[in-house]
Order: sequence, then C-alpha cells, then structure tokens
Amino acid sequence: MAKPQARKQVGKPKKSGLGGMGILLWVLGLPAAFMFLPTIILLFFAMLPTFAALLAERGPNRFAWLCVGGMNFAGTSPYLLDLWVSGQSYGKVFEILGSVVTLMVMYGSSGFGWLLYSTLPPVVTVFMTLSASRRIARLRGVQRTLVDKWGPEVGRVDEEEAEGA
Amino acid sequence: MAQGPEKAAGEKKAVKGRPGGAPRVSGEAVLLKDRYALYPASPLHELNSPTAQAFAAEDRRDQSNRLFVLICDPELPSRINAMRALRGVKVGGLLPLVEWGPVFWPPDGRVCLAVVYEEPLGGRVVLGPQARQDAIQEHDVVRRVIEPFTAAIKEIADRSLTHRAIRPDNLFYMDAARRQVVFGECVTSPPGYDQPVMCETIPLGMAQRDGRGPSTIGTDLYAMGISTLILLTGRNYVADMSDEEVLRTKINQGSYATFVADQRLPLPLIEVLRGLLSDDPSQRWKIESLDMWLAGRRLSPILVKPTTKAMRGFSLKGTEYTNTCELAQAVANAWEGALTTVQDGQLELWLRRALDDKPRAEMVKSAIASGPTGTTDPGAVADYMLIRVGVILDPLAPIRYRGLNVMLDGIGWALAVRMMQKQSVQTIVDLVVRDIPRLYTEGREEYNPDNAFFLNELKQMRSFLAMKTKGYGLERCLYEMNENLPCQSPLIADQYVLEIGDLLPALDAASKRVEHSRSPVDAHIAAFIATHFGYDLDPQFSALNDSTPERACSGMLSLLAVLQYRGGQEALLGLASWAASQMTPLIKSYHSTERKKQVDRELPRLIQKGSLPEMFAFLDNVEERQKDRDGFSRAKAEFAETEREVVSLERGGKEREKEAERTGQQAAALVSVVIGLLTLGILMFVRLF
Repeated sequence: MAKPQARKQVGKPKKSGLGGMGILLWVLGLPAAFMFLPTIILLFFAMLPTFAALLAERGPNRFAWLCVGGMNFAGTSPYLLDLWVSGQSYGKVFEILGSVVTLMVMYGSSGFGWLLYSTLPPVVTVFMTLSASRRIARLRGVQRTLVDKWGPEVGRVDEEEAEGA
Repeated sequence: MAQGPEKAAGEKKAVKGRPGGAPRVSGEAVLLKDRYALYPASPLHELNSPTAQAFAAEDRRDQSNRLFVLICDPELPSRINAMRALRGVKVGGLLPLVEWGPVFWPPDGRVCLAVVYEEPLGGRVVLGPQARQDAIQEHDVVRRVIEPFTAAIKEIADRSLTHRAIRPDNLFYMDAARRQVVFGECVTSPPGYDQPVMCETIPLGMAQRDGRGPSTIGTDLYAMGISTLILLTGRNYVADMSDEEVLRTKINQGSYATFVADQRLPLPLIEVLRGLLSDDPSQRWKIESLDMWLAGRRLSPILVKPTTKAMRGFSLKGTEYTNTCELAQAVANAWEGALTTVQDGQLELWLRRALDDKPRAEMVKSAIASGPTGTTDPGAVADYMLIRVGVILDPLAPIRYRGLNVMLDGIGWALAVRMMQKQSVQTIVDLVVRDIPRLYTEGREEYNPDNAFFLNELKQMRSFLAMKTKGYGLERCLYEMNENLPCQSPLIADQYVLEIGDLLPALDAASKRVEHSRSPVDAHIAAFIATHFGYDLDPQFSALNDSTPERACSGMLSLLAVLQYRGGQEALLGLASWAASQMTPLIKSYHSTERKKQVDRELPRLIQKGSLPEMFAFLDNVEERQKDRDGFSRAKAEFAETEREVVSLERGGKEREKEAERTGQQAAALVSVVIGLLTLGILMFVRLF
C-alpha cells in the first residue's frame, strides 16, 4: 500500500491591515463624522455618564451602561433635536453645553438610569423567590394528596432505587 | 360432628333393672347419631377396657338391645379403621360393635370417641391375669372356643385387619348362660397396646407397647392359642412372672413349653396348641391349618426347635447370655456400653466358637469392618454398626434404636401415642431420618413385600421431615402415618376432628373461645388438611409459608376458602370473623387508602355472610391488586418527580438570586433604552407635526 503522501496544510497568509469593509467604513465614516461633528460633540459631552458607566462596569453581565445610557439619551434627546433643528451649528452646541440646567437635565436623567439599574433586580429577585415558594407549596400539596391517597410508602425511596441512585 | 348432651325423656331416668334390682341406667343421656343414648352417670366398671371406660347405653329404636359404650382415652389413638370395618359385623366369637362416633362427653368436658357394643350378658370369662376360673371342659373347647375364635379371626382377616387384643381377660360370655365365648373389643387403643407380654409373640413382646403395630393374623392366632390353653387348663402358669421373666422363659424354653409346663393336655388338642404357639412364624398354624384341623384332618406335628444355646455364655455388663436372641436385646439395652465389646471381636469369636455359628460370625465381622455409607458422624457410625449386629443376632426382633423398640408397622402408632401424650419423639424422628428401618429389612433373610411399602412410606416421611414449614414437618408425618388420627391442633383437639369435612365447623366452634390473635391454621391443622384434602394445595401452602405476612395471610385465607368451597359448608360466621381479624397484613398491603376504606366498609358484610371464598375473592382480588400496584407505581413516580423539583427549588436560592439580578438588570436596561428611544421618537413627532 502506497504510503499516503503527507499533505502539508499550508495556511493562508493572514490578511494584515483593513479589509474591504474597513476601507468602506473609513471612506464613508470620516466624511459623515465631519458632517455630524456638532452632534458628535454634543453626544460626547452629554453622554459622559454613560461612557463612565461603560468603563467602570466589570463582570459578565454589563447592563449598567445600557441602563444609564438609555436614560441619559432620553435626557439628551430634546437638546439633540434642538441642535438638529438649528442646523447643527457649533454655536448651538456650546450654548447647550454651556447651560447648567441643560447639563443637569442630561446628567440627572442618567441618574435615573442608575436608580433603575439598582432597584429593578431586587424587585425581580423578590418576585422570583415568591414564585418559587408558591411552586414549592403547590408541589407539597400534590405530595400530600398522593400520601393521603396511597399512604406514606408512596414517598419512601426503595432500597434498589436508592442504590441505583 | 359430635352431638351434645341431651336430657333423656323424663329427666332423670332409672330404667331396666339389673340383676340384683339396681337400675341399669340413670342420669342424663348423651345421644350418639340420634339413636344411641349413652349414660355418663351409669358406669359399668366390669366392662371397662384397660384404656376405655364402660357406661350403660340404650338403643332408642330397639330398647330390647342390651348395649354398653366404651369411651376412649382422648390421649390415645384409637383404631378407627377397625371400627369402620367391624361396625355391624355379627359373627360368633366376636363382641358385636354396634356403632361408634365422637360425642361430647360431659364428665370429660370434651368430645370423646364412643364405641357402642352389645353387652355380654355373661360377663368377663377371666377376671384378671392372675385370677383362676373354671376350666372349659375338653369336649367343649373345640365347639365353644376354637370354632368361634377361628371364625372371628377369619372374619377380621377378611377385612384386612388383625384383632391384636386377644387375651384371657378380654374374653366374654355373650349369653347369660355363659356358654358363648367371644373376643372383647379391639378398637379403643393401638394394636397390641393392652396385650400382656405373655399373649404376644417373642418379637412383639420385646417391642414397646405403643410400637407393636397391627402385625399379622399369625399374632392373633398365637394369642388365641394362649387364651385357649388358659381356658382349657383354667390356670395361667406365667401369671406370677414379670414381663421380662415371661420373655426370657419363652426364648429359652419356647412358648408352648412355657405355658403348658407340666400340665397334661388332652391328646387331640396338643397338635393345635403346638401349631398355634409355634415361635417360628413360618411354622405357626394359619387359618387354613385351623380350618383343616376343625374339618378333621390331622396335620404333621410341629417339632419345636429349642433355641440354640451356646456352650459358654457371652458376658455383657455382668450378665451371661447363652443365646443370640437375648444377647441382641442386651446389646440394644446397653447400646453405647456394648460398643467396645462388639468392636473388639469378642462377639465374633463367641459366635464362632461357643455357638458354632460361622456364617453369623462372618456377618458380624463384616458388619464391624464395613462402615456406614453417607455419614461421617462417629455417633452415627457406632449406631449403624450396633443396629447391623443386632439384626444379625436376632433378625425377627423389633427395630431397636437408642432405647426405642418398635416394629416396622408400629412406628406410626408409636409416633401418634407419644405426640398425643406430649412425650419426646426425637428418637423416632432420628430413626426415620437415618433410614434405620432399611438396615433391619436388609438384614432379614426373607423378603416381605409389606416391608417395601413401609420403607417407601418412610422415605416420603423423610422428605416431609426435611421441610419445616406448615403443612409438612413432623405433623405431616403424624397424619400421613396415622390416617385416622383426629386433628391434634390445640385449637380443636377437644373436638375430635376425624374427617376433613368436620374441620371448618370445628374451627368455627373454636372461634368462640380462642383468642383471635392466634392463626386458625397452625402446623397441625395445615398438616391435617394436606393429608386429608384430595386436591392440590401446593399454591396455598406455598403462600401460607411465605415470609411476607400478607402472602402468608392470603395463603391461610385461600386454604380455608378452598376447604369451604369444596366441602360445601354453610355460613361460618365465627371462623369468618376470626379469619378477618387475621387479615390486617393483607389489607395493609393495599396501597390505596380508597381501597382500604372500601375493605373496611365491605368486610363486616362479608363476615356476616360467613363465606370464606367470597372474603378471599374480595380481599385478594387479582384485578384490584393489579390496579393498586399500577396506581401506586404511578403515584410513586409522580411523588419522586415532585420531590426532585421541590429539592431543586429549595436548593437553588443563590442561583435564583443571581438569575433574578441578571434578569432585573436586563429588564432595567431594556426599560431604559426603550424610554430613551421613545423620548426621541415622541419629541421628533412633536417637532415635525
């Protein structure tokens, strides 16, 4: 039998640099960024609590920045609309960012996000615990009915079963 | 079933005067089979048997019949088969047995067996072993004694029985003129039980009285010879001797010489008496010989061979023995004490030199040299050797084993007597288990087909003894070997249950006085049923002996139900109640509480019906049982599933918290994003429109 010829898997050389998609993004993104720079500037400063939350959050479940971000965005959206209506001028951006009230609204709304993030999980926990207790009670009830109907032996584990287990 | 006491008409009764003016019967009567009035207050001591008391009796249908009743000892087996066979038999020479049956006997407060006989008007011929009476004249002996006795023995033999109670003090004059001599009763005790050693052949005389067995008609003829001789001479030469002395004299001198002694007998009678009293069973006269002699034919006279005596005695335990018969008995009595003497070759030497019996000496040598087969127990080895040597020395002797002396056909009787009298039966059990009777039959020169029957029966008994469960064991042996023995269960022993059909009514009656915590089927009752019931009961016994209480209960009820169903008995309320009280494990074995409640509701109704088959069908219903099992399995699986879920819920607290936190965070994020987008959307909508 002929010795099978060893084939050397020659891996394709890894593409370095940007692919087609990356180039497309850069081609379209850079002009767009320049076009919407006032909006970006507003969003950058208005959404600082969200970026802080994103950076500060650790662990597998990273929902805090979304929570903060959603509310932060809700607080920012009136001013964003003002900016867009006013034709995205830099002056309008600085006017908005220069107002303490505006900043308080935007950052304050992110605080509601934090509030939501910290209060909803305990509520869900309580709800789930109550639900489990109700389920246990219902199952115990079923067991009681079985014992009433078939005697306490119904709950006794047979030796064979126990050994099998 | 036994009938209860009944007041005789006119309350206290005193009728029919006896000679001397005394009233014959008095007091209340007990009725036997609705016909025979038995009077417990009117004893007839002169008609007593050694183990049965006599009382006055009357025939309600024919008061001219002079009757008496014998009340059997309840602690002794009676010969029921003989009662059945001899009931109504009227033959010269035999006291007519009129009726028999169990009756409630007030003086004993229990059911006893009553045997009604015609009253011998002339009374007893010989009043006691040592009493002297007028000799019957020589010319009368043939007509008044030998002819009727022969006819009676022939009649008994025709029914495949033996009398086994022919002795001088059991002879009666049937008529008031004291002419007609008859044999007395022979049914109230085991065969040969009441016989003095003088009336038994030498081998039977060596056996214990409860183990003599029915033997053959030859033993009756021998006893007839002894009785005839004593009636003829009017004297009993051995009356003053002890049983041992009588036996020794018989062995050494022969029976004829022992009883005739120095008396001069009428020449015509010498032949018949020599023939009847021959100690050699093969030479002893048979019925045919007697018939021929009575018909006038003269037979060749029997030469009485004296027992071979040794030139010098064999010393055992300080006593010198000059013949093998006595020596065999001495060896059996000494047993282990004789072991050394037998083993060291002295016996063989004595047989060879002093007795000049070389074949027997060789046999003894061979018996000592060859060990027993199938045992390594040194005790058993010694036992087997002593038994073999005993058989060689005296092949006709009873089976001797560790103090037990029984004939092969007497083993069952001995077992019955000892069990009824609450004596130890261990030696008999050992005898059967070790198959010792086979050694005896193998050691005998003549082949007897009856021995094969008994050996086969004992083989079956061994298999029963090997099983210790209800329906088998020693009790089964007892009833198999004594088919006509009443059930000995302490529950119903006082009711004398002979027939399987009487068992359930007896248990029903017993239910009123027995604690219901006891099982109605004990070892005796189970064995009695197994012996007497003609159908296969293996499934019932298998269940009865099961280790699980519910199966045992079911088996017990099933057994009783089959009996009631097959026997067609009416309602047995007491027994039904008793059996129901034993059914707790069976009822508990149902898992369904619904079914248990149903049983509780229905059981009283079934008890009221007194039907054990219905009770069994209801309590151990196959469909219900299957339904219960299936339902229980499903319920068990459901319970286990719910339990697993509960455990999972109870153990999953921390995981649930983590899950809840994650879910809460997700929900918060979702709500927040939705609010953000909605706000933007609404504001855009407002601005645009």
